[in-house]
Amino acid sequence: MSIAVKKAMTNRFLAILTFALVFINLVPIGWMVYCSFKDNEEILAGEVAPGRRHNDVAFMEPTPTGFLVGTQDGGVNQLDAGLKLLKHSNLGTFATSYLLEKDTLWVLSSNRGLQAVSTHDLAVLASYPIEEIAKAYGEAWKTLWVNDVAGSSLERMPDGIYLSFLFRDIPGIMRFDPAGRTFLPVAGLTTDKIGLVRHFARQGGDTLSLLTSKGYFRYASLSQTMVKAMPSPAVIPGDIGGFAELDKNRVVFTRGKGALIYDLDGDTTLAVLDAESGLGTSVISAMTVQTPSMNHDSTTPTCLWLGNSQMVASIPLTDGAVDYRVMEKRLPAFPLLGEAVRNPDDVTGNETTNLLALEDGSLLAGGVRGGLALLGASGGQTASLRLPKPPFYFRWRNFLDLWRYIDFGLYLYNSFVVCGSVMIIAMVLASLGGYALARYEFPGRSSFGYSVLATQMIPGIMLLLPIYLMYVNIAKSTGLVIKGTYFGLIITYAAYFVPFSIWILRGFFASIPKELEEAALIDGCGPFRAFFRIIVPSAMPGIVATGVYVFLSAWDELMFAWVLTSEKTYTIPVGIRLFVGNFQNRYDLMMAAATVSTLPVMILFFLMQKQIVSGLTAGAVKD
Amino acid sequence: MKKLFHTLRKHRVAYLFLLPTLLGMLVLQILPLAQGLYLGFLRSRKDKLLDYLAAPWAGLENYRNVLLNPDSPIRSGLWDALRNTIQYTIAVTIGTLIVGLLAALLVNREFRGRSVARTLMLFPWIVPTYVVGLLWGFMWQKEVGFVNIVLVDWLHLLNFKPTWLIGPNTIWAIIIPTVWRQWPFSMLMLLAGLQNIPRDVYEAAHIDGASPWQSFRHITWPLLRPVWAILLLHGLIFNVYSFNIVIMMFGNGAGFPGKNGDLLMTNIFRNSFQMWDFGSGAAMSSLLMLGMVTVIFVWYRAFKDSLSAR
Repeated sequence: MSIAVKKAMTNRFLAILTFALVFINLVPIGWMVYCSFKDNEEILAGEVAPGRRHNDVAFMEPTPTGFLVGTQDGGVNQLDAGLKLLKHSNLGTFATSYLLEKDTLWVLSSNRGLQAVSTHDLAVLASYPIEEIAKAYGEAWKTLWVNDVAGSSLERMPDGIYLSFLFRDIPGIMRFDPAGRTFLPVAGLTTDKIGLVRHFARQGGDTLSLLTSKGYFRYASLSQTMVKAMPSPAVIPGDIGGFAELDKNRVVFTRGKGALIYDLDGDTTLAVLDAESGLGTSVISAMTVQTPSMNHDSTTPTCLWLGNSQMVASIPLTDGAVDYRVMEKRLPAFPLLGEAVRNPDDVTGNETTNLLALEDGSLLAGGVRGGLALLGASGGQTASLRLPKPPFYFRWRNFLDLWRYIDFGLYLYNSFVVCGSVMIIAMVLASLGGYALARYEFPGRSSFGYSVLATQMIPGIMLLLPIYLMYVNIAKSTGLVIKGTYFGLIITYAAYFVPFSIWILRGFFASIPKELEEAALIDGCGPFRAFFRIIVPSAMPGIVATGVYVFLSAWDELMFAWVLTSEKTYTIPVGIRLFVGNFQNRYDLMMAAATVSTLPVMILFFLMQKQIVSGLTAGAVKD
Repeated sequence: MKKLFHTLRKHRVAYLFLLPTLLGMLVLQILPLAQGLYLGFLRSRKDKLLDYLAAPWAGLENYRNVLLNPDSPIRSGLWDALRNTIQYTIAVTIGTLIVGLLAALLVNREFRGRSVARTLMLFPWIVPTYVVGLLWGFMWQKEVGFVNIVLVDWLHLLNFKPTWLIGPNTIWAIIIPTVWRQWPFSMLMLLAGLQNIPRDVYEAAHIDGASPWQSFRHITWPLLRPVWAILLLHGLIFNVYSFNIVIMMFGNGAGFPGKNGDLLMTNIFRNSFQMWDFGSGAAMSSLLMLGMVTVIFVWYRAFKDSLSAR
C-alpha cells in the first residue's frame, strides 16, 4: 500500500515538474506576445501590469448639482459638490473632447464620432459615427487611423458646432448643424490652408481662435472670413506646443521650455516666460481654463494650464499692470495657490492636466490617470477622488503601425513567395531524387549519398561569398539580374534544401512496399506514370512533413537573404533587421514584428504537427 | 566511352530523376565551394569585385594574416570569436542534450495531459532563430528586460540589475536562448528513442533489483547512444555555424556583438560584407571548414560502432 502511495506521489511530483518546465519554457513566448500589445512607454518604464487606456481628465464643468468631468478615454462622470461620484459611464473612446450645452454633453472622439450624451442619466441620445462625418469631405477623406488621432477639438459657434481631429489625413474643420443633423466642411478652414489643427477655442461672439501647425488663425464664423492669419515664425520661433487665450487680444503660446504672451492687436510680444528648470518634457497641448473670471482685469489672479507640466498665471498688480508667470507644477512652493498644490503628486496622483476656478474661489484640479482634487479658497485640499479605472482594451496599434511605418506586408508576402516556391521546387526535385536513391541501383549512388551529406557541412558563408560575386558578375556581364530577385534567392535556397530533403525522403520511399509499383509496372505503366500515380501518393505524408520542414527552415534564413535581396524582395528577417536598426528602442514594435513573423510558422506547425514529428523522428531513429 | 553511354542508358531513369538536383548542386554548391577555396588565396578588394577571380594571387598571405600576423586587425577578433564559438558550441550542445533528455524522461510516462505537455514543449523550437535573437535581446536588457525584472524585482535573488549584453555575461546571454530554442528538438528525438526501447528490458532489470539510476545508466543511456550521437553531430554543426541569434541580439545586426559575444560566423560575415575583405573571409571559411571536417571525423571514429549497429 505504502509503495503504491509513494509511487503515486512520485508520479504526481513528476507531472508537476513537467508542467513547470512547460511553463518556464513558454514564458519568453508569452512575454513576446504580451509586449506586442503594450505601450512602449509602459515597457520603457518597466511597467509589467497590463496597460489600460489613460483616463487623464480632459474636461471639467460645474453643474447645478456639482461637476461634470470627462476623461480622455470617454469616461463621463457626474460628481456632487463634494467630489462624490454620482454616476459614471465609459463610452470607450479615444482622443475625446467634450462640449457642454444645457442638458447635452457633446462628445467627439476618433473612433465613435460625435455623440450626444444626456447630462441627467449619461445615456447616449444621438450618435453620428465617423463614417457619417467623413461624408462631409466625400472622396477626400477615406481613411482614419483611429489610434493616430492625437486629439480632437469641439466648440459651439453661432452657426453650429465646429469640430476637428488632430490627424494628418483630415481635410479640415467641419461644422455640425444639430438642427439639420448635417456635417459640412468649413470653407477656408482646410488642412492645406491652415495646417493641422491642434486646438481651437471660441473667442467672443462669433470668432474662433485656432492654433495649427502653420500658425495662429482667427476666423469669424458668421461672415466666414479669416480675421487674422499669423504664420508660425511671426508668432514664435520653433515649434508651438499649444496655446491658450488670456483675453480676446492676448494669446499664450508655448514652446518646448517656456511660453510667450502675445498681443494680437499690436503683433507684439508682451512677455516671454521661461521656465527655469525641470521642464524636460515638451508642452503638448494647451488647455484653457473655462472660468467666469477668465479676464485679467478682474481682481483675482487667473491661471492657465498650458500642458502637462506648466501653467501661466496672470497676476494683477496694484498699479494696473499684469504680471505673467510661468510656473512648473512641481514647484515646491506654489506662490499663487498656497499650500494646496505644494505637492501636486499627492493631490491628483501624478500630474495636473486641468484646473477649474470656481465662483467661491476654490479650485478643482484634474490630473492624469483620473485624479481629481478640490482645493479650498484658503488653501488646503478639501476633497479628492480617483475616477474609475478605464477598462482594459485590446491594443492593436503596434500591429497597425508595423504595417504602416515599415513595409511589413511586403516582407510577409516576399517570405511567403520565397519559402513557398522553395518548398514546392524542393519537394518535386527531392521526390524524384529520393525515389531514385531508394529504388535504383546505379553507379555513383553511394557517392551521391555521401556528397549530399557533405554539402550540409559547408559553412553557409563559404558559399555565400562566391554566389554573391557570381550573381553580381552575371548581372554586369550579361544584364541578367539575379541578385535582388525572387529567382536568385529561390534557386539558392533550393540548391541548399534539395539535397537535404532527398536524404530524408529516401527513407520514406524505401519504406513503401515494392510490390505496389511492380503491380503498376505490370499493368503497363511507365516508370514516370508509376512514380506519380502510385509512389508519390503513398509517400505523401513524408513529402508533406519534409516540405513543411523546408518551409520552416527557409523562413528562418537570414544570412543569404540579407545579401541576396534588395528593397523589393526583402524577406521578413531582413526587414526586421533593418527596422530594428531604425527603431532602436521601439520594443513594442519589435515584439509585434516578432509575433507576426512567428505566427505563420506556428500555425503551419500546428496543422502539420503529427506529420512533422513522425517524419523527423522516423528519419532520426529508424533510418 | 561506350561503357559510360551504356551505363547512362541502362540507368537513365535514375540519372534523369537526379539530374536537376545534380545541376543545382554543381552550380550552386560545388562551383561556389571551389571558388571560395580559391578566393582564399587571392588579394581580393572591393574595387576588384567585377573580376574577382582575376584578383592578384596572394599565396598564403590571407592565411598568414589570419593565423600568424599579430598586427592584422582580423586576427585579434578571430581568437575571441574562436574561443567564444568553442565555448558556445560545447555549452549549447551539452545543455541541449541534458535538458532534452530530462524532458524526454519526464514525458515518457503515463500521466494526464501528456500529449499537451509534449506539444507545448515544442513551441520554442518553432520560433524562428532571428526572433529568438530579437526577443532575448529585449529580455536581457538591463532596466526593462524581463530577466532582470524576474530576478531582481520579483524573486529578489539579486539586489542589483546585472548587465547581460556587455562584458563576460554576454556568452551566457547567447548560450541560454540557444539552448531554449533547441532542446525541444533533442527532446523529440530522445523521446522517440526512448519509446523504441522495449519495456521488458526495464522489467527484467527491475526484477534483478536495479535502481532507477542503474537502469538508466546501464540500459537507457547505452541504448539511446545512436540518437544522442546524431544529436551531438547536429548540435556541433548547427552551433558552430550559428549566426542569426547573435546577429539579431546585438546592435541591430550591423553592430559588433562585443569581445565576449562574437562568433566565428558573425566575425567572418563582418569581415566579408562590411569590410569587404573577401580574401580573408574566404581563408577563414576554409579554415573553419577544415576544422569542422576534423571534428566530424573524430565524431565518426568515436561513434562508428553505434551507427553501424543500428
